[in-house]
Amino acid sequence: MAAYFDYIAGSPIDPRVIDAMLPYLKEAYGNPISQHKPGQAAAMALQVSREKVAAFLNASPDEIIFTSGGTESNNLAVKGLLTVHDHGQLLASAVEPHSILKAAESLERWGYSTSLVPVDSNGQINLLNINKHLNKYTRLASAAWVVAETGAVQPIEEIADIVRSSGITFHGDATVAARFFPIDVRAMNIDALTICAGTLGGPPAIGALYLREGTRIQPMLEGGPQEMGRRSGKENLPYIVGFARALELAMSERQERFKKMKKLDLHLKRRLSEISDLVIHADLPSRAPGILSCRIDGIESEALLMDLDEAGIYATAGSPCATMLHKPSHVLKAMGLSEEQAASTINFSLSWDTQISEIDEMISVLKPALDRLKAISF
Amino acid sequence: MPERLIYFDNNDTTPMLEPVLQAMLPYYTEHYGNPASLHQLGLEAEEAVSQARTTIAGFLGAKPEELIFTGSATEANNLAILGAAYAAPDHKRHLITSKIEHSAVLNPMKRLEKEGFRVTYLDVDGQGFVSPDNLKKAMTPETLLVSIVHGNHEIGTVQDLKDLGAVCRERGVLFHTDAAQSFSKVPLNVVEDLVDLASINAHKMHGPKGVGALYVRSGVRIRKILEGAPQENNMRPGTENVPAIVGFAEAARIAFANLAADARHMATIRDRLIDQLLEIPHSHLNGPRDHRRLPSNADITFKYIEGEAILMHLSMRGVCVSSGSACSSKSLTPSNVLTAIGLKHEDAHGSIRFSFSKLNTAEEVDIAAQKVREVVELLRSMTAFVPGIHSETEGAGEGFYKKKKDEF
Repeated sequence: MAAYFDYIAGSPIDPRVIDAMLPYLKEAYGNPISQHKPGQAAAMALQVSREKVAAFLNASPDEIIFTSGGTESNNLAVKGLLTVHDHGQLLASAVEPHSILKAAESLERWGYSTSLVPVDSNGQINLLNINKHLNKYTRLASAAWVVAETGAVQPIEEIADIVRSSGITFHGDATVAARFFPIDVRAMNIDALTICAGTLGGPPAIGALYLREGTRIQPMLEGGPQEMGRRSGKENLPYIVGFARALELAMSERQERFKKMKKLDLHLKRRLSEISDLVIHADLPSRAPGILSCRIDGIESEALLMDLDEAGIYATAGSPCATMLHKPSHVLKAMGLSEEQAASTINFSLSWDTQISEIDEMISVLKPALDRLKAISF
Repeated sequence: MPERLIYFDNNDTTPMLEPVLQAMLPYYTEHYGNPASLHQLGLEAEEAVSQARTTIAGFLGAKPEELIFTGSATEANNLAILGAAYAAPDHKRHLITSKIEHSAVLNPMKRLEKEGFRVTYLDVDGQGFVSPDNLKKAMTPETLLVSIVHGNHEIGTVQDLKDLGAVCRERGVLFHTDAAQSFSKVPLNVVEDLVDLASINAHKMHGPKGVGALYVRSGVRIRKILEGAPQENNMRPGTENVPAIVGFAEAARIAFANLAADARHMATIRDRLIDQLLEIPHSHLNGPRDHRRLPSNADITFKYIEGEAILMHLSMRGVCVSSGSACSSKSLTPSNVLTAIGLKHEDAHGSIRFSFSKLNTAEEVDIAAQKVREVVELLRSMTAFVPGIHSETEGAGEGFYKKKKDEF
C-alpha cells in the first residue's frame, strides 16, 4: 500500500474541481476580451471566478490579480510594490520562501535593500524585532502566514498592524495558511496577499495576488490589457475556474477539514513519539495541523527516505527548493539547527483525506528502517 | 434551435483536442507529485516534464536543455526581451523590433525605454515584411537584441527569419522571434533560421492554456525575471504545471504528425474564404497572398463600415471572428499592425480577422462568407455614404466619410 505525505509540494485535484474545469478545458471559450459569444461566455466565467476568489478573501473582485501561482504572486508583490518607489528597503524574515528571498536579492541589484528579521528557535517572528528593524527607508514588509516546511504560524495580524501603522505597505503570503484559516483582508489590515490553488485541492500553477484598491504596483509581465494591465498574458480560464471552485469548497469545508487534520496530526504525533530520539520542530500548540517537520539525530534522512520510498511511503527531506539545490533548508538554519540536524530532518504534510491507516503503515515501515540505519551507523 | 457556432478566431485561441485532455487528466488525479520531490511520485512527474521537453524541443530543432517552460508566450517574450537586456554588458543599450509586433513584445520594449534603453521600431512594407537592409541600417555597436515576430497575429505575414537572423548573427546581436502564431503552422527550425530566442505556446495549437516556452540557444545568457526555486535550469521558478506541459507535448505531437497536410487544408479553406470575400465591393486583403502567409489567417478590410459592427452582427449569426488584435479589442485605438502597413485609421477600424484551425471546413467557409456578405450589405445600407450606392466616385465617398468621422 502506498501512502503519500507530501501534500504541500503536490496534491491531487479534488474531483469536484476537475468537474468544474472540464467544460472550459474542452471548449475554446474564446478570449475573455473578444466580443463574440464564446468570448463573452469566457468573460462571464472569468468574472464569476474573480468574484468567488474575492469572496474567499473578503475583497472586491477588482482587487484580484490572477497569476501563474504563488511564486509569481510573491515576485509581483515584492518587486511590484517596492519598485514603485525610486529606492527603499524591504523588510522580510529569514524563513520566507525563496520566491521572496531571491526576489529581494534581485532587487538589490537595482539599488534596493533588504533587512532580514531573525526568527526564534521555533521559526517565529518576534514582534519586538519587527519594530527594531523598521527604519525610515522601509517601504515594504512581507511575511508568510504559515511556514510551509514546519507549519509554524506567524503573528501575521500583529505584524500587519505594526507595519501599516508606520505607513509601510504590507504583503502577506497565505499560500499555506489558506488551507487552515479563514481570511479577511479587510479585517487584517493588509495591502497585498498571495494565495494559490495547489494547496487547496485546486490545479497547480494558478494563483492570485490580492491588491488593496488604490495600491500602486509595477507590473512584471507586460503585454495585453488582461488583469487591468497589472498582469499580461492569456487568462488560464480552466485553471481560474478550478481555482474558484477549490476556494468555494475550502470555505464550506474548512472546519471539517481542519478537524480531520487536527485528528490526523495528533495521531501522527502520538505514533512518532514511539520513536526514541525523534524531535519535532516548532511544535507549538499553534502549529498548522498536518504539517510536521522532525529529525532523528544521527540518521541521514535521505537514506531513510529511500527506504520509505521503496515501501511506497512518500515524504521529503525539505522544501522542493532545498531538495533541488541539495542544500540544507534555510528555514531550519534560521531556527538555529546545525547542518547535521537539517540533514537528519524529514517532513510530513498530510491532507484532510489522509487515512489513519496510512500513518500506521508509514510508522510500521519507519521503525525497522531506522533500526537498520542505526545498526549501520554504529 | 441554435446553429452550431462557426469559430474563426483560432489565431486567438483554439479548442483543446480530446486526446490532449486525456493525456493531461492523469496528471491532475494520479501523477500529482512535485517534480522537485525525490520520491516515486516526484520522479514520475519529473520524467513526464523531461519527455515533454524533449518532444517539443525536437519539433523546434533544439536540444531539450535549450527549452524553458513558462506560464505563457507573453511571459516567454518578457523573459527573452527583459532577460537579454538585463544580462547585456553596460554599453549594450539598444534594441530593435518592428512596428507590427504583439503587445507582449512592444510593452516590454516600452518598459526598457523608460529604464534608459533605446529602441528602434522598424517600418514594414505594405504586406508587413521587415527588410533585412533596414535591419542592417538600424544596427549600432550598442545593439543587443533584435526581436521580430515570425508569423504576424493579425495579418498573417511570415517573415524570412533566416535573412534577418543572418544580419544579427554576423554582428553578434541576439535574435528573438515571437513564434506563438507560427509554431506548428509553418516550418521553424531554430538552428537553420539562425534564431537565438523563440517564444511559443500551446493554446494556439489545440493545447492547454497557461503554458508556453522560450527556446534559449545554448551559450546565450539572459537574466531570469521571476525568482525562486531553481526549476527550469534555474531560469524560471515555480512548481511546474505538469499536466499542461504534458498536454503541450501531446498537442505538438498531434500537430506535427500531420503538419503539411493540415497546413494545406487550412490554406485551402483560407483561400476559399478570401476569394469569396474579395468579391464584396470595397474589400481588400491585408498581408501577403502567397506562401509567405500563415495558412490559418485571413484579414480583410471592408471599407466604409466599422469592424466592431461587423463582428457583432456576425456573432449574432453564429460566426466568431475578431477585429483588430484581440488583445487590444478593448481599446479604440486602431491596430498598430494595420496602421504600420499603411491603412488609414477608418480602414483599420473596418478590418476583420478570420483565423482557422485544421478543424474548420470548407462548408463553414461557405456559410460564413454568405453571412459576411449579408452583414456588410446590411451595414452599408445603414451607413452615411458608400461609393457605388450613393455616388459613382470612390474618392468623393471617402471624403464624405472622413468628414463624418471628424464631426465626432
